Amino acid sequence: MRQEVDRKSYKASIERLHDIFKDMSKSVEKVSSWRCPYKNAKDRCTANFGCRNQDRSVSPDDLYVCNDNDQLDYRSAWET
Amino acid sequence: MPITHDGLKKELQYIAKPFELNHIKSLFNDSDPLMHEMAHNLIIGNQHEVDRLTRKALDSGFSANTILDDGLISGMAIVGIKFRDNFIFVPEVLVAARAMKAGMAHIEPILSASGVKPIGTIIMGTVKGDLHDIGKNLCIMMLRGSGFTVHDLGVDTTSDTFIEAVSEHKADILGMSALLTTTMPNMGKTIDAFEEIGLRYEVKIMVGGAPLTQEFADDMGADGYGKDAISCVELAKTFVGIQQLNE
Repeated sequence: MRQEVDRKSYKASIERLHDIFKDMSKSVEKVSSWRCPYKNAKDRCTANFGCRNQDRSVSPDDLYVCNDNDQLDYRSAWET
Repeated sequence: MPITHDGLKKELQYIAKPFELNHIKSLFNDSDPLMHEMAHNLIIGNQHEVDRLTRKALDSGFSANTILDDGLISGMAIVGIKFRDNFIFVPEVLVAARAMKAGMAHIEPILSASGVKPIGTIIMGTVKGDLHDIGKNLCIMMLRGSGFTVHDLGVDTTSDTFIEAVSEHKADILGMSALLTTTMPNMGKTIDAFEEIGLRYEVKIMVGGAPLTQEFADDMGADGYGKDAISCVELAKTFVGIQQLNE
């Protein structure tokens, strides 16, 4: 049997998702003022570029450790 | 059905506000354990499991609406709360979004067959010489969540690559990101390249990135500037005629 989508319900779902993302956008702005957005919850670096805060003494498969103390402007450490 | 999935139960421990916890619990109490498992795997960013569970759910007769609401969006709601309260950060949010995309890949054909088309096609990329992509990736997550088809060209993208992608996908919108003042001019060069080959007015061009301003965007001839990810979505919607700005 071919699946059909309830369009009214779908519209409500997308609106709900939009509200979740809108709140996330506010959170991004807030957290990015003090924490590098490439730093994950385990304090590892997910950036694909160099940064002075990276501790690269990790095994080859591991992400670099981020040594930023979340107190200073992290962007100045990004290598350009 | 009350939540029995251990992983999902652990995730609820991150929700401190009683009204939020009650709301989230009520969402899951009305849904199937398969949706609980799907939501948990979305939260932890396990895209392969979300992919598998979505296929399993569809094969078992769950509606696309149910999967979207009870599995995917409910999981993303918890991601939003954990992010707001600093239990997770941007990288974890993007990993969860990737898992959601894996589930949506099975939902989208059903949407299409039901006459629900993407609201537009967007090409996104970080300009030549720039490797920063976090802002772009957040925009892409939200654009896809709003119903756009998005083709991500990645970082260090040349003007030619942007042009080829816009032509190939008949894109409505091109979104360019730059994080460095030294790479921002490449946005203007790309816009010039579109003009030189006569494609400039076939596509709306929006730009974004921390060093950008509305003035800079206007000066280089962009159609719009998004100061953050949600502004990017709202701008894109105006470009395809969905809503008016400042409504």
